[in-house]
Amino acid sequence: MLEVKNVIVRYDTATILDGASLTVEKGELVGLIGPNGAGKTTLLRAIAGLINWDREILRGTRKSDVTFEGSIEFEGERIDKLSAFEIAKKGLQLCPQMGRPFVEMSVKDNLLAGAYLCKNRKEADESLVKVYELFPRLKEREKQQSGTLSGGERQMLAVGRSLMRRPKFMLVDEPSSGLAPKIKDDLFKRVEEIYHELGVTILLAEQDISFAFSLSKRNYVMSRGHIIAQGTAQELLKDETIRKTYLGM
Amino acid sequence: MAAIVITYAVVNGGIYALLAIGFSLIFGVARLVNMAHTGFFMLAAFGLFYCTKKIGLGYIEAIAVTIVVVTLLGILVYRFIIDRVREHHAAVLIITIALVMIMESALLWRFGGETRGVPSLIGGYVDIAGVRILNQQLLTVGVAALAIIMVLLLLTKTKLGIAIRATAQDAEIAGLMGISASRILLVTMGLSVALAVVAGILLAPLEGVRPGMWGAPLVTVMVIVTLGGLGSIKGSIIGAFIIALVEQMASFLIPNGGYLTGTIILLAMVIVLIVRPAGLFGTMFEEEKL
Ligand SMILES: Nc1ncnc2c1ncn2[C@@H]1O[C@H](COP(=O)(O)OP(=O)(O)OP(=O)(O)O)[C@@H](O)[C@H]1O
Ligand SMILES: [Mg+2]
Repeated sequence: MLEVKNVIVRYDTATILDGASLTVEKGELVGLIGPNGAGKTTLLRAIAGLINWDREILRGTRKSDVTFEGSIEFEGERIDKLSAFEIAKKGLQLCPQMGRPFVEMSVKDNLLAGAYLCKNRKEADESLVKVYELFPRLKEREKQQSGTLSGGERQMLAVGRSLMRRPKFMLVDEPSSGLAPKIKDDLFKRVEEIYHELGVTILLAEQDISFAFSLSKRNYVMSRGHIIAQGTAQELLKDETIRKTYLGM
Repeated sequence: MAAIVITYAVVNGGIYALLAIGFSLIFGVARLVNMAHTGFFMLAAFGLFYCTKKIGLGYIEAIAVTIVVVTLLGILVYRFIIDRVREHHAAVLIITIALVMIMESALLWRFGGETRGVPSLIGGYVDIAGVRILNQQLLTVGVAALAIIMVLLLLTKTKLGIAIRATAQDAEIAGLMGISASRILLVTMGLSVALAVVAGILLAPLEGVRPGMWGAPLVTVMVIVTLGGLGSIKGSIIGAFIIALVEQMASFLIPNGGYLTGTIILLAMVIVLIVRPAGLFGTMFEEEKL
């Protein structure tokens, strides 16, 4: 369903992604793990079209120069030249790191912004009910400005917002970062529910290996802009070097 | 006399609010300081003058033609000029200043420098508490209020409004939601210019038209949005009425005070900024949100 081939991203001369490739089949939940600064976020942003966005914004400024090479296919179509909003229209949805809510908007308006691609009001309303079922906390906080939400609530809002338009494929960037174990477990159950019940294909970037490994059947390990290994949790844990060097166990 | 001051403050406040909301809106969404904003206001006033006096259109037709033509011009200017340099803030300032000066000299060349009158849409007046209020003034206040309410409803209650606000706060994330920033910016520019056009059409019958008429309102609008917090719609509305009141009080209470209004509102702005650098409500000097 998703095929990333040899993606290279450079900011000025710093090479952030150095020929990363991966594939995700329809119906899979694939983990993307690796330490801080490995390039997980950059890879997900590249897939979602945000590196193109950076290029556009920085064009002609002296702040930075962005290069982007390689190919990305979604459902057999090249998407690496498209803008983020065009990629979103194809049903591929990035749920960004740290949630990134629209801080001056209420929880409900955030969700409605997520419903922008819904065909009509009815579809948006149905999604809203579904998301509130999944995260009753969001319903309670409906009118609250999202800038005042706690970290866990922001993460729920981000996941809920990404679900509003019922994506086929979700890229989820570190939903667990900075959350207490109990909230993590809860979010974990929700992600599982989304995967099983809503049938969304998921590529999940995580640093929390236990979180990633218990959800995903297959994982890619990333380090310094490369994919250095892939396999099931057992396979990866069997390999001494990978375990020590990259998984820190 | 208090009644006169208040009447004029409300009428001017309405026009200022329309101008300030548009100025603030395009800044909030695109981080774009459009120095040509009151240029479109001037073009609209001249448009009404030209359509009614020179080509003799009926009033309603003249208004419709002016709104459509000037708003379209604003959108074209954005699409083919401003959008290309959007990320270079200094270039935007310079280009929009150049634009408004080009507009002024083109009008000078075509119509000359003197003030020209524009007929009122409705004549007559009413007496309220001993003050003679022109029906045209009442109409101005009514139309301004209606336009403000419509903009507020648009921004808070509609899908387009949510997309505009989302883009203003985080264009990148809005993009992930499927919202095209360049389309939203274009629509917002249209909305911003349309508000300036309505303000121009309302002002023309009250004060006439003159090629230099963009200057003083631009300063006033900048004072208002600085007070209210650039990018804050609520701040723009409240700021507009405060400034209009201050101006009217200055010109009524101080002998020859009419010459001092500019000085006084600028002083008020400096004082507010020293006390509250972000303006009364606002976000002006907040770090740019990416
Ligand atoms: N816009 C940018 N300009 C320059 N360098 C960048 C930019 N974005 C990311 N980087 C650098 O790229 C590297 C990879 O960053 P990235 O955010 O992709 O890592 P990550 O794997 O998601 O890490 P984390 O687990 O901490 O989120 C980092 O060293 C980062 O500093
Ligand atoms: Mg990251």
